[in-house]
Amino acid sequence: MTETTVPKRKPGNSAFNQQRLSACQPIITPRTVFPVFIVIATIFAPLGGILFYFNEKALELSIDYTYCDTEAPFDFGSIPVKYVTDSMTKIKSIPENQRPKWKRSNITILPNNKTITQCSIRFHINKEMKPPVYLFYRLTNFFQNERGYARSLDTDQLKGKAVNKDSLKRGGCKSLALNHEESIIYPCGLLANSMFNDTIGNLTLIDLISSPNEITNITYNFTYNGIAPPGEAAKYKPTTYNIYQIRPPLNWEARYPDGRYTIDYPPIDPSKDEHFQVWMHTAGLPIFRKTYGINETTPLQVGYYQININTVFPVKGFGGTKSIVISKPSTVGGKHPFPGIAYMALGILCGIVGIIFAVESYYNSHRRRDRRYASMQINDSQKDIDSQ
Amino acid sequence: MNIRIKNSFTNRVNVISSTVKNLLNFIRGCKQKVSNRQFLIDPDRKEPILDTLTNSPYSSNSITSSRYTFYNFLPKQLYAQFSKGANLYFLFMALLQMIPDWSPTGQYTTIAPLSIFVTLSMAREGFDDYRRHKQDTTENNKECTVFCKDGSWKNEKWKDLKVGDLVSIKAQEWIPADLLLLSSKGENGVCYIETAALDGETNLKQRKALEETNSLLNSPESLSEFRGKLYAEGPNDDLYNFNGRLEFNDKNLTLTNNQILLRGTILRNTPEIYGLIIFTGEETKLRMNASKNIRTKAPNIQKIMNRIILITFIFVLLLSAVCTTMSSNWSKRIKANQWYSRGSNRDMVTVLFSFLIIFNTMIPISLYVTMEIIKLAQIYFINHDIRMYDEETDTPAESRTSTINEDLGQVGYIFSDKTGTLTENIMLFKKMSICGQKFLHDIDGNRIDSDELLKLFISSPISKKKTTIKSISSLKRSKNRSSSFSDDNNNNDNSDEIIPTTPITRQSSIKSNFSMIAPRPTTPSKSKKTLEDNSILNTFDLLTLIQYFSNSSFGQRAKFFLVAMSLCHTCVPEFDKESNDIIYQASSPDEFAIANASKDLGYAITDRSMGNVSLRIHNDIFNISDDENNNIFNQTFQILNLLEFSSKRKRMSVICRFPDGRICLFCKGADSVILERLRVIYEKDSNDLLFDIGSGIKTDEFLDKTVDLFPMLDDNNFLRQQTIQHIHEFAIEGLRTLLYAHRFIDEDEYISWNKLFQEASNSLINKCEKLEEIADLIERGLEITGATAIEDKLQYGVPESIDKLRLAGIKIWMLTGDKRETAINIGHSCSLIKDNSIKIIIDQKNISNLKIINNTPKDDKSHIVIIIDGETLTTIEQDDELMECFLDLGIKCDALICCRASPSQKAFMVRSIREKLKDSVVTLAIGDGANDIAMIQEAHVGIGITGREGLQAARSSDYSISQFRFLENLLFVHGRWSYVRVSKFALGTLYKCMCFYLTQGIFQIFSGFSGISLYEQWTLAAYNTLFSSLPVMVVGIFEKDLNYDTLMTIPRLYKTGQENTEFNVKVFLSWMFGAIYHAIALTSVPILIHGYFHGYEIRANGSPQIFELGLVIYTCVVFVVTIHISYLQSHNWTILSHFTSFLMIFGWFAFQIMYSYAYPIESKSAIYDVRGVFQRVGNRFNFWCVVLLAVSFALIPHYFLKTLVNFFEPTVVEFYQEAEKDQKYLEKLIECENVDFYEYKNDKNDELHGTKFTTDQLPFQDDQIFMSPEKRSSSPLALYQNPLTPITDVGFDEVTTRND
Repeated sequence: MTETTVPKRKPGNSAFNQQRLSACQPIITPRTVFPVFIVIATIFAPLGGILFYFNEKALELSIDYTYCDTEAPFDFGSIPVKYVTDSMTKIKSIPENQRPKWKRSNITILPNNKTITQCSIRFHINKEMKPPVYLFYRLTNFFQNERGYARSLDTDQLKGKAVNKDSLKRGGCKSLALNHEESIIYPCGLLANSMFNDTIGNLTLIDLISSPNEITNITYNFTYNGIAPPGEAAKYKPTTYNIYQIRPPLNWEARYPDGRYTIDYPPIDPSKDEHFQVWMHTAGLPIFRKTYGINETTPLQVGYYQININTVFPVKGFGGTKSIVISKPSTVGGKHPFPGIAYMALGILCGIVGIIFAVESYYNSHRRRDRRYASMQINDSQKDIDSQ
Repeated sequence: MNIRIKNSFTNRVNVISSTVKNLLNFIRGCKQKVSNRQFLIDPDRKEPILDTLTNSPYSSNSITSSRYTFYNFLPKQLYAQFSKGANLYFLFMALLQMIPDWSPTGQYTTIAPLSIFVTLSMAREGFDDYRRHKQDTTENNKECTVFCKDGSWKNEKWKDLKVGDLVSIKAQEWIPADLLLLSSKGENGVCYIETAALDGETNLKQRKALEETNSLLNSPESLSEFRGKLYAEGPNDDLYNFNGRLEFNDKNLTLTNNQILLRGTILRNTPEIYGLIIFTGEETKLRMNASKNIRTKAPNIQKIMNRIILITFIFVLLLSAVCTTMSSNWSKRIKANQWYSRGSNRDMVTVLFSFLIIFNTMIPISLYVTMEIIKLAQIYFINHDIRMYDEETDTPAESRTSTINEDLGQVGYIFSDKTGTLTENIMLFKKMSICGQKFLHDIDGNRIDSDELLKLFISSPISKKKTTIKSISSLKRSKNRSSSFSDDNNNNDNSDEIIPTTPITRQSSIKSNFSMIAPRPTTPSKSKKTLEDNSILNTFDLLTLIQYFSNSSFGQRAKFFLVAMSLCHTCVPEFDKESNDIIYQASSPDEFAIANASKDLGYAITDRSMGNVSLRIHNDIFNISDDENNNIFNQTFQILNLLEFSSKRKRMSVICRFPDGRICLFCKGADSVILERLRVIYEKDSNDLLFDIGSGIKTDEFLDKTVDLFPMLDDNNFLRQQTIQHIHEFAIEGLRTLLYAHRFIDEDEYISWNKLFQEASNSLINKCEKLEEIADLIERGLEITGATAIEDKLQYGVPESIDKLRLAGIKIWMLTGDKRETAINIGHSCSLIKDNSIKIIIDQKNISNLKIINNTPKDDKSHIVIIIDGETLTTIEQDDELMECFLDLGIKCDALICCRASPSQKAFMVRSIREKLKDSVVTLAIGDGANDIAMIQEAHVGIGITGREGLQAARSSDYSISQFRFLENLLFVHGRWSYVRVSKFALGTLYKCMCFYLTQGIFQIFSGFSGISLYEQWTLAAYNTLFSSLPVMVVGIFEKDLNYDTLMTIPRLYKTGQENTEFNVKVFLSWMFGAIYHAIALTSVPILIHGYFHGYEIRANGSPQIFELGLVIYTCVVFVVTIHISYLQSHNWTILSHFTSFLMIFGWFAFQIMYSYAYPIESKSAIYDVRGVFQRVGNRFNFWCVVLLAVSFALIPHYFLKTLVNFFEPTVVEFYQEAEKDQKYLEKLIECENVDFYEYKNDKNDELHGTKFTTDQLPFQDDQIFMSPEKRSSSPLALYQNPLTPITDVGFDEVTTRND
């Protein structure tokens, strides 16, 4: 049956079928690899330089005021160096009168006439900060990303729905849905309950020359609009609960008369309260900063400023800290020296490796290859003997 | 419909009852007894015959090769699917995940892909089985003519045939069940069957009905009167033996295999036969031989894969456990002081399961599914490789399975069939030796002009003394002789100078013939040898010579030999009217070749009937048309007795009466046997017999005239030596040799012998042995007539392939049904046995010494070949200790030849080795016939040759190729590539999962071990399919660590797979450390930058949310994984790698952009705030800086390390990768490798060619290497100790005496 027809089953002789697709088949030897390292070096080192340069342009001042209520004197005293991070100057180089200082005072706040500690902090801005200038609060050791905690909220409730008790207890808020009186908490859940509630005032300039101990009426104002990520507001709507039906979260009770909502002290409108939105936008890491205020218009002039903070947010219990951060980012982002340094270091290392490889491959790569073959043969026969 | 249900119902009841029975038997601890079969024959019977032991009907004649029925498919398949560890694991995880609230990663992200995958593979299995069902149905519904009690015939389907039915089979029909041949319309109750589908032999087999039944049961009428009782052995798988007895007509008739027609054979050349069904369905020998439980083949790599997956699983468990412990620690230590998350107390069980769900994906579902795709692609390349395409038969390579591609790259043992696999399965009559002269049978060869021929012939070696033979006797003789030589013949020692006068055309034509015979370059390059070979004459020259010297002693002898050739076989001539030609039906391809050759030479038998053979002789074959009457003689020889061939006798004889009344015995057989039976030669003995074969040839006066020309023809001893020398030469060339001898018998002697013979052939007990004894009496005192050599043509390139395979570290075992001599010859010619190999022949006699041999330390320089036969193997099988010994020995030796092996023995060998080596070495079986099926299924890899014997083997094989030599391409290139690809794919897949999911684990440190996921659930679920699948797939499909040609030329590179250097726990761990390092680098850089470095935060407006942090890390992972797999771990960067890498990275960003715009605002979980994030993030320069930095931190050190390792300790593969870049250097290397390659051959040049012939006959205990030194030196065969000792010094006389 061998017909002399055209073979029907002959495979096509294409490069694909025959696995002859043109390909680059790199080998990894110093000889072939050194250009790669050199190229990396020539890219990374300058890139690191650029990042380093821009990082110098970013300014940031951060003051940890966790222990203000215990360590700060009742009149202004220097803040221990460990609590201050100033990217603009080294603290020791600052004249005594311009060093960061703090003081605590007890004040009473409405509506329950509760006495709390107010912390006043004074610090010097050495370089003018061009807008936008951010005011952050920074918490450490606070696990907003803890699974049970982060999910402890009720999206329906925040969307304005009057969710009933049963649904709340079954939903995300199950760990904090009702208070001890069995009434609905609004906004429910651990996340809302633990909202950062220190009140941070505006920056007030102190004229060090004329009245070094007085605050002037020149203030640098932060707005609280536009601090939440865009689109965040869309997740929230004013609640449709009757205000007598609901109670504020346990941790908020101090802000409301007898811990209840009233006409004068209505529940928050989550769609307007950007501090709330920022808080609910959980941080991914246990060390985080959240925007408290922003000034996108006026530059922050060089000068000595005071800021007052009503401290009510407990952090010492879980070993955390809280700080305020005043920051002016550069065009490439916030203050951070690491990328610039890392790129430069990486670039230099790659350069050195590249040069070593280049030098190595310049000398006798062929002889090495022959040596390798010989050693391979010996290995082989060794193996054979072993296997016998 | 009703009937079908009923049928299936009863079937099932039967199945259940038999299962219960089996179970009971199993519990009782005894095997189900195989009953001997006995039943009454009665065509009127209506009830089915019952088994005498179980009292139930015999099994039906339907066969099932399908594995499932409609009802049990689903449960069986589900069971099968989920008995795969991986699937079960994923099912468990999917169920865990579906428990509400437990899963941090969504509820249905595991079950959805899992069910798709499982459904797909079940569908595939179902489709396969559907096809099997269809095949079975066709087979079972074939029709067959069955005898009805009323004397008529009706057609019945095969499946309805029952034991005891009488059937009629016509020519070209398949035999439907195992039948007892009752009568045949062929001559003398003979019928022919083709057994190719059963045992792989293409030649027709003869079966003969018993005289009694044949004469009495040859019509339907007589059949209806047929009564009797049949006794037979129980169903078994022995194709070559049958024991039974038929009580018929008050006689007790012995049944042998000669009366049995087996299912799976075809009736040929016989008009019709009647038969009685003895075995049906699954009890037929065909089915008994088929492997019952077809092993589901799994790649060898799977074991390591399972181990690796187990390691990963343990790692997952460990990681989960550690995280859970840390979690409980964390909540105790920190949470006590934590006012903000009070109330949400962690339930440790939930936490544990959350972690399990997070980490379980480190073992990817896609590993198994994508692996299938990759293997399909590999198959595509195998099927489309043009270098494995055979133009001649228009067959490309074909793969029938996809599961075991990588096994092809790890083969350690090859079990090869001989016929049709190593050889082409065409027997060609190649050479003959008459009167000490060799002739080449070459139909197309040029004839020499007769004058030239005469001149040449006068000076040819026949008339000279051969210098290589120095036996004392011949030396003596040559002295005596030289005085009577004519002048011409005194020059015999210089005859070499005359030979070159041979016309050039002729020489070249013969040369080309030689290259066909022995394609490998092993023909020794000694000039003398070549000249002698080239000076060989054509058989047509022989005819010319016969014409010229018709009446000389030479002519007489030559003619006599041709007559012997044409008489001494069992072929049946048939006159084909169409082609006006005679066609022979032979029982063996050798005989067929001989019969045809003698026809070519003008000695054709035209008729064989009633003990007579008609021989047509052309006097002058070249002038057929001239004068018919003068040219052609028709002579009739009476065949008095036929002494049949048996493997034990190794010879066959024909006793015939010449037209002039003389009785002559022709005997042909293996040289070793015939030599023993030659007449003892005395000093002054000369041959005084005249070879007058009858009328037309006058002989009386020739002697005086031609005595000068052929002086030595009278010297029997010299003739013998010449012939033996020739046989020996033929055998070295790998030809199958037969020695012919004859003897004239006195009338008286014949009559008395014949009496004995008739008695023996009539006896019922031990008939065979008796006949052999009797035959032995007459086959004595023979005289050499001549010798023939038949070429079992090797496939092109087989010896080279075998050499290369050996260099690649593969051991080759040849398992063949052929007889030992043939097997050894082929072993020689296909380079399986080297000329300096030590052959150990194990047979019944020396089994007991197996242990001694086994304990003898092997000298690593020697090449040892073991030769064993099926019968001996059966004995060994029965003794566990011996078997153990034998296997040990088999593993130690370099090659093994097993001859006379039955299909089940072949499979048994494969299985024993597989089990002995605990599946650690991949075995490969290659064959072409149905007799190889069992072996093919038993081995790890089964390869079928799509050759001349049909497709049975190919169909049940895993891969089929058309030529043995394509095994090189299949193993060295495709196998190795598949192995490398699958390894890299598997490692890459595990790597990418480990790397990605480990970032989750690292992140747990920063989230209080709460089991929160860093990534949004669908993004997370899409990782395996959308953002990382293609690069590994491309590597799995297109990776080439070395090029086609490099792999083909350097066999040692194949060892990568055998030694499993690409895929083992060590390599896996190195990949995993890479993954762990990458995960750490990719997580730590973003985390450092987002607030963990002096509290600085690179993000201008506050800290990132968890999703954004995840986005950064995810992006880094996509980059690193893509680059690492497509570029750093791959050696073959094609356009496809670029394209897929681009696709992955681009796809990731496209997905994020889409997500950023289209993600629902109202998401249930507020943690992952996806909408609009990427828009903002992607615009930030620092985002890209962080990504680049993290990626560089992960990859550059890895790359650097790899360079260093490669620099200081390169692997063989890396070395050749480098060499490939430098073509000249590579060529030099190949040369170096080729020196190794011809290592054996170089040795051979210094060696004389005597080893083969003599050592063959040595019992192994005389083999030197296994003897103590003292024994060695005292052994009479001590001269074999050094292979360089010229063996041919052993004179012919010594050889014969030793044999006696």
